[in-house]
Amino acid sequence: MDVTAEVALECLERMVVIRAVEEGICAEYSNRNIRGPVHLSIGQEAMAVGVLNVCRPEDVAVSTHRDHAHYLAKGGSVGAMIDELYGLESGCSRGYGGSMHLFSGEANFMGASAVLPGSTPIAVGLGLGCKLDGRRAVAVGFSGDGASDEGSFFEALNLAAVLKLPVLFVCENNGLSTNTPLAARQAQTDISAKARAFGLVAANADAVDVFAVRRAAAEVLDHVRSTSQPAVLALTADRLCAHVGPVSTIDPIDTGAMLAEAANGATRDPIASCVGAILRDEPQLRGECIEILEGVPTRIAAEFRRANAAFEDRNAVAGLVAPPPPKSHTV
Amino acid sequence: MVSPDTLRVDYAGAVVHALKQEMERDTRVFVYGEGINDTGAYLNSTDGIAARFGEARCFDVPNCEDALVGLGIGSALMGYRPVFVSLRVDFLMLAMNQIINHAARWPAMTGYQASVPLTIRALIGRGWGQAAQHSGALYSMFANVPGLEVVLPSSPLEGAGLLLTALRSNLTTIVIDDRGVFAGAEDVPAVVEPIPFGEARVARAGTDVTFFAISSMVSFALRVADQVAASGISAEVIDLRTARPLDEETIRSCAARTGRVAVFDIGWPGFGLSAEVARVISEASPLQRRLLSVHRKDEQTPSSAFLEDAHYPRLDDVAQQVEAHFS
Repeated sequence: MDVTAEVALECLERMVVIRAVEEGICAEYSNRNIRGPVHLSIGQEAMAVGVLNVCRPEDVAVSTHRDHAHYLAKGGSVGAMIDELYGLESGCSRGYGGSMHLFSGEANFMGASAVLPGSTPIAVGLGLGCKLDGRRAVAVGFSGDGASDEGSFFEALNLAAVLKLPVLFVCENNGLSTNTPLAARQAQTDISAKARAFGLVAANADAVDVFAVRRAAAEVLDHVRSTSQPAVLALTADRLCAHVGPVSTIDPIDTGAMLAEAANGATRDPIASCVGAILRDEPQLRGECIEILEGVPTRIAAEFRRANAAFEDRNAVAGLVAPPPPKSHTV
Repeated sequence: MVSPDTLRVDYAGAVVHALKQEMERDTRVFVYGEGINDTGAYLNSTDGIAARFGEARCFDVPNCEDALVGLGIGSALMGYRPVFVSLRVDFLMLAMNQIINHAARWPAMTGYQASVPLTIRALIGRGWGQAAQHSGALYSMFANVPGLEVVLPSSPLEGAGLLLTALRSNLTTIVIDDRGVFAGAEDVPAVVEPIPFGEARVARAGTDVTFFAISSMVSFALRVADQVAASGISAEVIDLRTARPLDEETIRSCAARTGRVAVFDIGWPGFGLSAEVARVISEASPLQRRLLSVHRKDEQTPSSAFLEDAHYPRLDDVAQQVEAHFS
C-alpha cells in the first residue's frame, strides 16, 4: 500500500458502505416496497472509491444508471439515498429520480443519466463550468464501456480536448453492455488507445485493487488540474451482479469468509483485495477492518428498516397495492 | 422616425441587441456555435458579440451537436447561462438525446433541485431553395416535451423581448428563428423589456374569425387578413409567440368570441399547431365538449410509486372525467 492507515481504512469503509447498501437492496427487494429498476455495482466498488477518494469536495461528478457507488463515494447521504429507493419525499432526489437518478447538490454530485452516453457530454459542460469558475475544480464523468460504443462519447472527448477543459472521463469497463461482451461490440477494445488517438492523456488500472485505482487517478487528476486538459482513466473490473435487478453473484459480507478471501491473491472481490492489502502491510489494523466489516452493515440495515417503516406509513395513507414482481430483471 | 429611445433594426439586429444587453448585465451568459464568428454567420444574428465581449464568451466549436448541447447542460448545472446557436433546426436532430432525455428531464430527475438554464437558438432555412434538410420546422417535436420551452418570434421586436426572457429562464428554451422573419425592420427600444412566455399578442383586431399564427406565419396571416377584408371578412390575428407554454386562455376566449378559427402553422399538419388549438378549444368550450384527451400528466415521469401512481391515467378518475365531461 502507498497510503496512510487512515486513507486505507477510509477506502475500505466507503466500499463496505456501498456493498452493504446494495446487499440491503437485494435483501429488501422481494418485499416490493423498493419499486424500480436497480443497477448494482457489486464488484466495481473500487472504481468509484479509488477515483473519488483523491478528488476534492469542490470537484463535481456526473454518473450513469449504475450510480449508487459514485453517489456514495462522492459523499452523498446514505439515508437520503435509501429514502430515494423507497420513493419518499426525503429522498436525495425527492422521490423523482429513484435509483438511476441520485443527486446531491451538497456533495457536488450533479446527477446521473440512464441513457448512455448521456453523462459524458454533460461532464464536458461541467468541466467548462469549473474552468469558468476559475477555482481549479475538476469535473469527473463516469461512464461504462457500453457508452464507448456510442458516437457522442467520442464527440465529448474531442470537444473537451479542443476546448482544453478540466474533465476526467472515467470509463468503467466491466466488459459487458447488459450482457453483450465488449469484444462483440468493438473491434478495437482498448479504450485508452482511442482516447490517445483523440489527443487525450489516458491511463489504465485494474480496479480489483482500490489503491491501484487511487494511484492512477491521482496521477491523471494532477494532470487535469494543473494543465486544464482532459484525461481518460480506463478501469477494468468484474460486475459481480446482474446488469439490473437485485441479483448478486457473491455472498453477502461475512467477516470470517471475507478474511479468508482476503488471503486469496487471485480474488476479484475488491473489498477482499483491500482487506488483504491492509493486513499484509499493516497487520495491526485487523481490529479496525473487522469493526468496519461488522459495524457498517449493521448501521445500514437499520437505515433500511427506518425507510421501510416510513414507506409503510406513507402507504397506509396512499393505499397502493404492490404490483406483481417483474418477470425478468433484464429489462 | 427614429427617436433616441429606439433603434431601427432587422431581426438579426434585434437579436444581437438583446443579447448584448443581457451579456452586459449578466456575466454568466455566453454564446457558442459552429462558425459563430464567421462574417455574416447565422444571418448576421451573432455579429459583433465576440468583438464586444471577447472570444471567451462567444466561441467557435466543432461539429458535434449532441456534445455541444451536453456542454450547455453541464455548464448550466454549474450556474452559467449558455446560448447554443444552431444554423438549422435540422441539425438539432443530432442532439435529441441531450435535448429531450437530458436538458428537459434533468430538473425533474433531481426532484427539481437542479435547473438547466440553457438557450438553444436554431434557424429555419425557409425559402431560397433550401430543400428538405435545411428547411425543417420541427418545433412541434420539442413542444411535445415537458421541461422545454419553445419560442417562435414573429418580428424584430418580438425576437428581442422573447430572447431576453429565454436568457433569464431557468428552463431549457428553444428559440426558433424562421428565415422568414429576418427581412423587415422595426423600432426596438434601446432598453429591451422581456416578453413573458405563454402570453399571446393581438397582432390585428377583428370580429368574424380568429387567425392563430406563429413565427413567420404571423405576417402571412396579417396579409391574408388584409386581403379577405375586401370581401367583408374581419379577421383577428393572434400571435401565439410560444408553443410551450401555450396561451390556452387566449385561444379559448378568442375562439369563444369569434366562433371561427384558422391556424397558420410553419410546419406540417400532423400532430401540429392546428391539432393543439383544436384540442384546447374542443375540450373547453361549454357548447362543444366533444373531446376529452386522456393522457399522462404533462410532466416528466417521477420514480416514486406514490408520484408515479398519480402520473398515469387512473381508471376511476378517467371514468369520472368522462361522466362530468359528456353529461
